[in-house]
Amino acid sequence: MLERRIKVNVERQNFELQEGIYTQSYEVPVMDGMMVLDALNYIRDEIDSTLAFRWSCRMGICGSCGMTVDEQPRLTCQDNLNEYSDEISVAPLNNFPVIRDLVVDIDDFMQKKLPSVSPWLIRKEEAPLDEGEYLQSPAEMAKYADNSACINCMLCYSACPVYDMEPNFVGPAAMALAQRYNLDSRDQGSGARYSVLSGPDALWDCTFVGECSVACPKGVNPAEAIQRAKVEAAQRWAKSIIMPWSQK
Amino acid sequence: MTPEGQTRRLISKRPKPRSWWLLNKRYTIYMLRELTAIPLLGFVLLCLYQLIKLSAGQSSYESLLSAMSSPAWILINAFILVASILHSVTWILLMPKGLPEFIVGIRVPPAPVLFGGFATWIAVSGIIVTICIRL
Repeated sequence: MLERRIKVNVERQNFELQEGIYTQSYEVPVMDGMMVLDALNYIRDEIDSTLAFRWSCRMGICGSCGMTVDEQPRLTCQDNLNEYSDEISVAPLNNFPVIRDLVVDIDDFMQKKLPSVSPWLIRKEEAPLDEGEYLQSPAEMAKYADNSACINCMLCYSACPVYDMEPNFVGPAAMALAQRYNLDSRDQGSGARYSVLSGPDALWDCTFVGECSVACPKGVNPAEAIQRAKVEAAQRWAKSIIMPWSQK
Repeated sequence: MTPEGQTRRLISKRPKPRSWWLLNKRYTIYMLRELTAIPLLGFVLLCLYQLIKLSAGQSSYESLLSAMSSPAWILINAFILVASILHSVTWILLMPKGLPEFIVGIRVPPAPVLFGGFATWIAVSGIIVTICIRL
């Protein structure tokens, strides 16, 4: 099989030696169809076992292998080396604290941002089991289907300049997932979610850069979800002023 | 679980250069659009100043008008015009992302939204320009 060799420049850290951030280059033989993650696995298996990076499923669903490739946020298991030149740079995701080499600390998103929007179905009262499942038509499902494709890879946070400047910003994926449940016909919890979304550090901190939607590897459009939620939040606010008695 | 303090962590993010917004074309357009707020503010202040001069009487307003026909002022106004066109065009290009994607259950593709946005913008601008020329 035809083989080419590429140079992979990996951004690493060395805290023990106080050297801070440095770039280490590796030469990797590449076959057709290899992904950036495959090159990193080759490095760890064959050249340097000390290189740290996070990955699991290799098929674009676990969302753990997000990194900065040639200064763009990419899901490395879906990032074909055929699309790159013979020299690429791999660095940890932007906007997240680095733990080691290419591994970033995702606690802020997983522990704070994501749970803050209650990304699950909320019912005022659960129907008894013998009534069966909550039915939904294909048209009702189509309203939120795009947003439900989110795999929590956090590439959108890495692409978002607002999250960089405002660490408390709830951020694109969490708000897209809030909309995923707000738009679900089975859900009854949008009131509670909108009280978070309309509050500080949420919808109104988004300045509509739009880069989250470009970065998303799963076709989710957080920029759109946020702008639509802004319209809805503004309508709810206006309604609360004009008809204060309508408040739930 | 590692007890706190035993693992070494870089608690800072990857350093980002100040020129981060020049590294990506879309970031650059975004920052330029945000910057157009300054010339647009300048234009509003200029309009207010014109009103003040107008209320001070005909001679005072006409002296302002003759001052503003100088090449420097024409250049400043041309700059403001370019800035406001940039602002409008980049906003309209974002419109498909901001509008509800479903109207009566049908997904709206971006093209008609863009067409509607640009058509409205050009029509309104045309009406204003026509009124200004006629007056």
